[in-house]
Amino acid sequence: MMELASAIQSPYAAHRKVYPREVSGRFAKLRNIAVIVLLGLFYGLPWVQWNHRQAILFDLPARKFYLFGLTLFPQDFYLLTWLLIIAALSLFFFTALAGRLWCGYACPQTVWTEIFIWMERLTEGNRSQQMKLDRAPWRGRKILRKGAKQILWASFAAFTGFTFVGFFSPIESLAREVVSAHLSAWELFWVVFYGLATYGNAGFLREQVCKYMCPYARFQSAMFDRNTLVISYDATRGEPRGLHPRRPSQVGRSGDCVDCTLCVQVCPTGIDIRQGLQYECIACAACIDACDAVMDKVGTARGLIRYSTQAEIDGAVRRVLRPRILIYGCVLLALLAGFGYAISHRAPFDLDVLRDRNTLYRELDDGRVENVFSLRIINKDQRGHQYRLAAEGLNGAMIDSDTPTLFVDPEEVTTVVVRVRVPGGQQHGGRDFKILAQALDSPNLRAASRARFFSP
Amino acid sequence: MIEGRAKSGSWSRVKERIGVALWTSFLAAGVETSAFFAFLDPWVLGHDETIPSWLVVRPAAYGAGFFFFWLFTFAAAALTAYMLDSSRKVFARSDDGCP
Repeated sequence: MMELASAIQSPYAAHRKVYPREVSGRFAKLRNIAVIVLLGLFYGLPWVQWNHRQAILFDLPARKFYLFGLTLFPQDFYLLTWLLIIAALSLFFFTALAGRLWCGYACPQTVWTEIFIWMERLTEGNRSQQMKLDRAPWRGRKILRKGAKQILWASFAAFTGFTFVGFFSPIESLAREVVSAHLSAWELFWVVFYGLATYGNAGFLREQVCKYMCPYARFQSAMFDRNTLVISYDATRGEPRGLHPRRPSQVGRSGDCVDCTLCVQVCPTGIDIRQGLQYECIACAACIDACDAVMDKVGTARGLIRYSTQAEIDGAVRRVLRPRILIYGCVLLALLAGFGYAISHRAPFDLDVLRDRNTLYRELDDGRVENVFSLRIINKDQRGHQYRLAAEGLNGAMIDSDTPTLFVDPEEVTTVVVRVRVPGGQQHGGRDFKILAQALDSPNLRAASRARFFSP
Repeated sequence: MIEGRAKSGSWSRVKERIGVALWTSFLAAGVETSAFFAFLDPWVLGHDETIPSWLVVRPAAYGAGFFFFWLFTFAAAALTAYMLDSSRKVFARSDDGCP
């Protein structure tokens, strides 16, 4: 029988703690590799430098996103949206192809839970030792082991929060601020916030996040069809379970399942895969590894629990190329191509015009009418440029600014206040015109922005 | 199965609803914040003196904006959960014969 500890207090009622048993095998190895690679990327990437700055930095205070050689500005927000759509569609594609690959190997929830479980095993021992420890009274050994676990968890969570903030605030100076205890209030807040989220999700909520909080877990079945790879128990081969196949009286009428319940004990969500596909199954394949090891020991063929498709179980042939896959694949390719085109054909600079809202217009002593605008020039190029400003569409308009031309450093945004003046008596009310910015060193680098000029 | 679903109307059910509402509203607030601030720069808003001076500092504005959105998305999510739950109770009663 499945052993369960008494119900513990948690955000969701009637929850019983799942003690996943340690498992080794092909898929466990694969999952470990995924954990190392993904966590390595998360903790390592902020420290990578590129052209004398952090390679990946979402610089929110400066409103600039650095992705290696690429610098994105708020005006490129649509690219980020596009990227998210690509990510969502990739999820659909891989789900249709191979089921919940994402859940089992790549989801941050899985990856961090794996690390937290590893720390739990380090301090509290294996599954049965953990269960024994939880039943034991709060005495020295228990306090010591539980305390050690909490210290490990808390420091790892804090480091995770620090790394997370390091994607938004340069991590090297952030590290110096931590060492000298000079973190700004917001940095400290987000380190603690993200650290607590990691601690709660990976330490306590675990499979409950997948069961109650994850929207993907609820709708992933919409992407499934009869040819999607799922983890399944071969009931025709396994049942009737529990009878010993070698006893002479039972030869010929016993299934291969010896009912050792190891597949249940290793399951991180605490389900019994032999009851068929369930929405709680995150397809981590721990039960496959456990069952294969048992089958090896018993001396029967592996694969009583295996990656399979509904069609295969029903005796049909597995089909990989099917309309669903082709459609998802084609749309995904089109989106990727479009994204590549959009990135490579980005406008090298943008011009934003904002009216000064305090005064609509001003009449000068010489009779001219003046409107004040603030211009923002966003130079997305890797080189700096000198720009000349001009007004178009207003008779006799002159642009007066503190400098006749304007230099904008590479990948920088410069704001300048300009005064547009037209001779008096020419017009009344509002009139649309254009403000132009032209780079002096390159005739192709020009941008125009519409504005409105008001006169008495 | 490991557990049974919490009973309708029980405190644990309420906690479950609050948890789900917090989470879905967190996601929505995150998307809302990034979309909102992609188009509006708090620093530029500050030039009009229409917002308090501490909000002109971008990280402060982003943080405050996020929690502002979260508050309202949570209100919407919690209300949705409450309406769905209570309607189930109402309709369950009307099935007994009383409209």
